[in-house]
Amino acid sequence: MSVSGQPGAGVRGAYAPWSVPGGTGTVLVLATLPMLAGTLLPWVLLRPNRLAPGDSLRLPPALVGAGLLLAALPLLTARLFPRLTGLAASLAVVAGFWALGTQTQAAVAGQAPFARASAASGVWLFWLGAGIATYGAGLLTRSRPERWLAWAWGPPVAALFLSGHLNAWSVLIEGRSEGPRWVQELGQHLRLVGEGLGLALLIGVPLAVWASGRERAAGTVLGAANAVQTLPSLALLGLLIAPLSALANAFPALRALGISGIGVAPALTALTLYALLPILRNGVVALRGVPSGTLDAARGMGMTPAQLFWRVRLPLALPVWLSGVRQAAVLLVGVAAVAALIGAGGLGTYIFKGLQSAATDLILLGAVPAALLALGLDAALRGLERLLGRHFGRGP
Amino acid sequence: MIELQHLERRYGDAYAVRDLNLKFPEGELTALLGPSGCGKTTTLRMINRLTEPSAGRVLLGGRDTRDLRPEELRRGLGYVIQQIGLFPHLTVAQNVATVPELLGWDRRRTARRVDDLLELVGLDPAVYRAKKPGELSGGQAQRVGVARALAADPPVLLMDEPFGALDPLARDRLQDAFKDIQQRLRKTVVLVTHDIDEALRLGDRIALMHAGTLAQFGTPDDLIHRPASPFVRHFLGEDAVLRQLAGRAAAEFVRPGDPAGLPRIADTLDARSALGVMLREGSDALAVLREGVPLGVLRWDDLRVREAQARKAQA
Repeated sequence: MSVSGQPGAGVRGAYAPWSVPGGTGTVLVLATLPMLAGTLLPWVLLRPNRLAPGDSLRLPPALVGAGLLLAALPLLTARLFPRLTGLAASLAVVAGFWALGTQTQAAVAGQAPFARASAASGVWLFWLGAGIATYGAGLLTRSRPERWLAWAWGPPVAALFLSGHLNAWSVLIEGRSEGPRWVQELGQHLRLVGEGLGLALLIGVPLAVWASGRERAAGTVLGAANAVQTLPSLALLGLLIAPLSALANAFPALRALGISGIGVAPALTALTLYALLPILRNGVVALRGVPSGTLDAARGMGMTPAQLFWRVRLPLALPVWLSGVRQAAVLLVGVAAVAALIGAGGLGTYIFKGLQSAATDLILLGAVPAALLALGLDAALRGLERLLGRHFGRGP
Repeated sequence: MIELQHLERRYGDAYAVRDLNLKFPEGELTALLGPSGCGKTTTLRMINRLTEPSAGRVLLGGRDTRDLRPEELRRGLGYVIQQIGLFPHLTVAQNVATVPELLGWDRRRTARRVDDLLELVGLDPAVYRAKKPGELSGGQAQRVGVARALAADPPVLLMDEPFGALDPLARDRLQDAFKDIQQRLRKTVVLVTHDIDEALRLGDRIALMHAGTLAQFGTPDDLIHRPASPFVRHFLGEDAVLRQLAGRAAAEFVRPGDPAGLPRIADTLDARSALGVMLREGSDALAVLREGVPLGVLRWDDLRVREAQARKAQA
């Protein structure tokens, strides 16, 4: 096909409002490849029980055809109807979940109750590709109303979960057998993160305000927080066991309060210490970053030190400070998972239990919600930052 | 209105300001002029106690400023600084309303005052009220800074190099605008500057400082024609008269006469430029026109007459 022979053909690209930028095109190609591979790879792993080795099952030919088509769909849509790319990518995501549901159902039909049908490499690769496709669609439709189509997979996937279509999937079987305990551990995880963050804020906020006005103090405080941060979380938890159990032995009253070498007390201590650095660092930097001219003007107009803080310093420091709080929150979701090792509970319980018994489904039962929790928390706090940023103007 | 008595500020063994005695006349603009490091900003900051004096005192309307709480004192003194210091997180209207809010004015009175002030400094309230400082040009931001300082109608205005960070064009325009405002409001203004042109142009009086002490205090004519020391003459420069003429319109010197055959200038031209035209055209008189209509004649002798008067007064 000769382009040079058609007048207008070369010009069209320049005028078309919806050309696919090179980078996004590459992203969508990168999305297609894992989806193609995923379609051809084993889709379900069927095992007689949750520990035994099993057989890999592939998709039936009809679904392989549909899968190959879906794999190419986001790229094709981006070329032909760019604004609908998000819809095509969402369709691929939903199709992945739907096919997992039908295939696991088919696999366990007629098997013993202990049989487990889990997602095999094909499913994960297909999801990876579909995920990249939604990301590419988001890039392509950025700052256009169609960008929400890249999230269109949300409600159908939720519906698939709620309708029980995925109930034959091994992870959900484990989840159902855990049931209320799982909810409890999720709650415990949230409590650990919330309380650790709360304590860190309670200590870190006044400390940052105090240190921001003092050069030497700021250096010392940040140095100490930095030192804590460099300790691996497991080592810190281990280090806390000895002093806390000694404390509990020396003062029985403390033991009555629930303080001991293992369990929630050392976990909360470690979480608080970890969250302290981002809160302190961003607080000190943000408070020191308020322009001196602004402070001088505020003082010169007759603001009291308290008014200066609440009306000028805090609002100007808040956006940067909040991003430190967000970092701390996300960090704590991860560290709280490790805290299960010393008996503090939380989603980490499933991860370690799964690791010990080589049960992938149990690991996923802890790991996936923890990952989603971190992502959700990050998004929510980012939104809060943006809201406050708009409220307080675009910072200094 | 404001009186400095034996005012001193030491940093270790070094004096930033030393035994300074000065009376800022009420309703006039006094320029605190001097080279950098002469202590002029320190002096200004001792008036509103952003810097506490090491010795001596400041009287405001006869009252020692140390008898007031610093915050209370400052709310009664308008304050404009070079870096503008607008609050970037607040709108223009909220910035201007800062002091009225600290004083607890009611909302409607404050809103009305904000609009009046924005109009006064030449910014349309409907356009600028809701803007953030980040959306303003340097000149507009400085106008808001002036409006903010005037918000609670303080009798005194303290200005620290308020036009220093502006480009020459914006500075000229803002100086003109501020001169108009001052003519209407008649505040007691203390303006710190190192710019001789600005001091000659805006100052009713000039307090020239040197190394923490007062070198001379007087009207611009005093400093130009009767310098108290070689330092004053040297600092103002041999062309100080020209600088002063640059701040005056040619029309001020016009007298009736026959403009026929004379080189023509517009009445909006400043007197120094008019002098330049005389030199270029080789003529000791110029025809001054207002919108094309002859207004009168500007003569070489009339430009000199102020000097002559001054010398006579001295004798």
